[in-house]
Amino acid sequence: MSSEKKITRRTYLKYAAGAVAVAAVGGGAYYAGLGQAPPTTTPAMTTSAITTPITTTIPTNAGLTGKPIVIGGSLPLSGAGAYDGERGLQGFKIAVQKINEDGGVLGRPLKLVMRDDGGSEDRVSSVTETLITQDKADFLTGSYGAGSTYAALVVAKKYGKLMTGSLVAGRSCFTDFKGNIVSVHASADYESDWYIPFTDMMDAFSQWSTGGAKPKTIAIIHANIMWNHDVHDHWIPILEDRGYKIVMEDYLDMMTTDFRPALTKAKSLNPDIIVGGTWFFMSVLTMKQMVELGFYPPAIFLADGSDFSFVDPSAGVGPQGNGVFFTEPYPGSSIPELRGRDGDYLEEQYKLAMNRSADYFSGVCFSAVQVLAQAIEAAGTVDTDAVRQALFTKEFNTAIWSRTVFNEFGVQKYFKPLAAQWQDNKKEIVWPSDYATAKPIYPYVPVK
Amino acid sequence: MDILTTAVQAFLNGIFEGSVYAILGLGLTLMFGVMRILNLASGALVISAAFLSYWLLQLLGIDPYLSIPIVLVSFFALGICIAKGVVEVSMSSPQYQIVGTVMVTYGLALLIENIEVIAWKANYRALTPPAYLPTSISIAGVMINTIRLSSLIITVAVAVGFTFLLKTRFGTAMRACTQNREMAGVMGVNYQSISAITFGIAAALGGIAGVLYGLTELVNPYSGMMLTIKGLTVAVLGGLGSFYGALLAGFVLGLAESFGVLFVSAAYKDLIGFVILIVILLLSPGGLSRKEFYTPT
Amino acid sequence: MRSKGIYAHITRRSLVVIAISYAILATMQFFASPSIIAYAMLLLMYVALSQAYNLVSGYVGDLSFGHTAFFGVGAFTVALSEYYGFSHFSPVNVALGGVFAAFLAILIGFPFLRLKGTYFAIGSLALAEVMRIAFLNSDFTLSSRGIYIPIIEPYSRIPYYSAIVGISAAVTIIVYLIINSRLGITFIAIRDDPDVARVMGINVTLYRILSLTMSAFICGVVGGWFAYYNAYVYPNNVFNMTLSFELMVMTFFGGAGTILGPIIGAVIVLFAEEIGRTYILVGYPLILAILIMITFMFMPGGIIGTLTKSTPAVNPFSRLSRSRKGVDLAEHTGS
Repeated sequence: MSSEKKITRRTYLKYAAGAVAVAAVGGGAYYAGLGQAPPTTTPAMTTSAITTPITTTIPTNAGLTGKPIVIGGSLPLSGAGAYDGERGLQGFKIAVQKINEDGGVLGRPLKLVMRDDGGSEDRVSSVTETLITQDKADFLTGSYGAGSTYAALVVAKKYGKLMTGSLVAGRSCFTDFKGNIVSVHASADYESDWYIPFTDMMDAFSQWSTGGAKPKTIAIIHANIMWNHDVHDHWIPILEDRGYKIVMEDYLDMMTTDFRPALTKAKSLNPDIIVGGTWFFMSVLTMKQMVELGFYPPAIFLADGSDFSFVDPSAGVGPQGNGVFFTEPYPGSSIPELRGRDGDYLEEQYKLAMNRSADYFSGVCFSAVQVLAQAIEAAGTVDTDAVRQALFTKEFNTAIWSRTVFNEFGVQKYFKPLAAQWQDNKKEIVWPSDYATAKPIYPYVPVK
Repeated sequence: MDILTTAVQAFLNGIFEGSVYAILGLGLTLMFGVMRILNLASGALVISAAFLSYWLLQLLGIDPYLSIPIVLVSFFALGICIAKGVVEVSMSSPQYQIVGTVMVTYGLALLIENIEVIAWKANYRALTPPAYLPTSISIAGVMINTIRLSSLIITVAVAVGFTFLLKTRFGTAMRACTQNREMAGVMGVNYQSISAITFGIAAALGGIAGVLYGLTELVNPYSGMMLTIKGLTVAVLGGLGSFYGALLAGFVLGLAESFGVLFVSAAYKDLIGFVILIVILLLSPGGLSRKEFYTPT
Repeated sequence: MRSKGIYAHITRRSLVVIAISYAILATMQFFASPSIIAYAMLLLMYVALSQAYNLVSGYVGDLSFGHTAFFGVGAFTVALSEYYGFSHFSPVNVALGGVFAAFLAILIGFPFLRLKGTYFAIGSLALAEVMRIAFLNSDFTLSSRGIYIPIIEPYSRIPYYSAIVGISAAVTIIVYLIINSRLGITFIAIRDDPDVARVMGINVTLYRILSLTMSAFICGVVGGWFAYYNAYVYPNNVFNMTLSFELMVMTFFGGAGTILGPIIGAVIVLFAEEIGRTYILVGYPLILAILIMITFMFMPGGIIGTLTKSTPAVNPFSRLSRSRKGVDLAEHTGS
């Protein structure tokens, strides 16, 4: 056969047929995707990705004058964190909507620019650079997790921009970038933030277990990300101090979907408590695979098991999820009375957009914007140093916590995350007792 | 859980995971053997099959296991279309054959991945296991997950099927192409059709792997590349072009990962596969099967 | 020794084009906007990396999927020496990055370059991943926390920009000199027919290792630059498999085995990604994917390869497709 390709009519026909077939299948698939109401794990998005502009901007209130104040941020809108990214995006959008409705900031409209960082830190760096240089962001917010926030802060520092972090609790961010970052859900009381309420609760477990046995051994399976290294540095010494023995601490690659080897190892060590579930999908998979392996230690803590679809049989874990402990960084999502300013508005708008109750990630994103808006108002100007001064000295009222005050490192002085548990397909706050809506159920009993 | 139970459980975990790896590798090795191409889009095709099964379940309520025949047929057809429409064209220019096919398949992988992301977003999805199957069967403390067991059974069935296939006229033609293309041509084998059908078979195999993967783990459009890499690891480990090598290598990889995690740490799960691959490559460049499919340079 | 007759006019013309481009780029720093500068920096980085990749995969013909390993070694050399306090903001670090990357190339060169084409490709991929995971789990390299190199205030990107313009220009000149020298001819000879080359007395493995080492050095230096520019280094961003594939795409898309090829490739690929990002939020590589497929279906030589119709006397990469009998299979495609 000669090495020259002859373009014949047959070849054209072949290609045309192929293209038509691909288009048909592709179009059908696309409409299948759009038209079908996906299960609760995937909330409906009303615009298709192709026509979505690169930035998500909120129509500004006609009554507001002046140059918009631009808040830029990145979220994982694609990739593994996409599920979380969408929730956060709604939180940001609703916040900006409300603030503009209420008269803007210093009479000026607030403009939100959100870009996708795919959940990877290197994208975060370049995206943050674009947000500052191209989109002309005055202030920054986002992203998802300490690792991404750290990467964004590196760039923010270069340009002298302030950042109100939505989801960051890892200590490295606050120590390395002191003065440039505040976080609406990180608590000054707790070095490792999310896990400390669990530790106090764990100490009290003996009062509920038969025979008064105190849990002693802990197995930890966490994702290999910055936050978990901070947890390792700060929480584990506290645990060991209190007499717990860490029988296993394995770091898993972020993208792992097969936890069974690690879980088999954990099961063989017979721990009293298992800790894991860094991201939502990891929490879901961990629990599902624990069920598969018949592994039910007396206490199961999956950090990000707070989403409503966790116990939904078709979407998450199913009834076996009942009994799983998790952190509730947005207490207002379970207890309406604990919602701070505009928490009810968030709930109502979120329900309209997503068909479910507002969860923690939307709550923290909402609050991050609130803090910024209030700080700018308090400073009376958008000058970075003045706003910085206001951020670290004034008192704010956010949906997450009515009394939001930051210490010198940018973590909240008065906020405490709460420990929660799935009971009867419902989220109950179980610790600390001043806020508890139900008693913790310990030990875990699998549903038959 | 005592040591014996743990060991058996880890062994089973390895075998089950290995069965999916084996099918992944088998497709790749087939394509390489007959067509001498590296199909970087294999993972993306696997994920597409998982999505096809997913939408069949969501929209039409078709049971995942019942969707396997549908996936088989449609991916076989799809494979032939891709082979004829895309790969063949890039192979027709001899001086750029390898590069052309690597690039085209990489482009195809990107294409599939991004169309899926645009259509269905990047959330993780899973195939809901059929309700009639109990989640796990417990035997003496060892938990056997029924779906994973079924994936092992399916892999064995595929292996048996292959043994028969290789004995048919077509199978012989396929083997001939693997060993020596132009001699096969001289003997009357139509290389183009054999290639296309092989690609179809490989795609169909990938389809099965996709359904199984969707049932046991979560998938999203971006998972494709990782699966391609795993498949390549298995195929190379078993010796590119060696069918049984790929099967063996799949199980070896699964077991190595499972026991590696048990003895060392879950952090190194992916590392183990790559280290084994490098060691085998350096010791025995033809892979586990020790068969050399090219002349050394 | 003068460059080969058929290629001489191509490379000289290319050089003029390149020289003009660099002159423009060098002056751009004074009047272009920050986002254009950022884009240009990224472009120049990829140009340098692609030229390095071209040395190995284009001129010698060893398809590599693991070049990010060299980039990562360079980046981490800088990051670690900053973190552990060996020196601060010194070009010596960057050069050292190149040196360590070169060491790596020599270290793995002997065992890995015995492998045949496809096996080498997969092996290089495995190596890069092994390094990524190893660095990700080692406390010495700060595992997944990453290393932050505190910037010197006030921040200005001009030094970084000038550096990458210089590095990139130097790389292009070096590659040009190599190609037009006896060394270059040797490389091409090895690619076209290693057996003949061996017969002629060329120590094939040695030259392959040499090209890998040179390529690694360049990637390491660029990696070192990146560490300073990005100010944040951690395993998943510098030992990133996607980077390896992007280099492959850029080099082959533009035309492997040419000087202008990788440059054009880098320009077009980055541009396609930008267009994608502008019009398609998620799934932006779609434009690139379509571009790749169409190009390689109809123009397998890449852009420069097809434009100049450079058809080397013997098939490059043919050894990747040789059958058992040693007959060149590629000449007998089909029935």
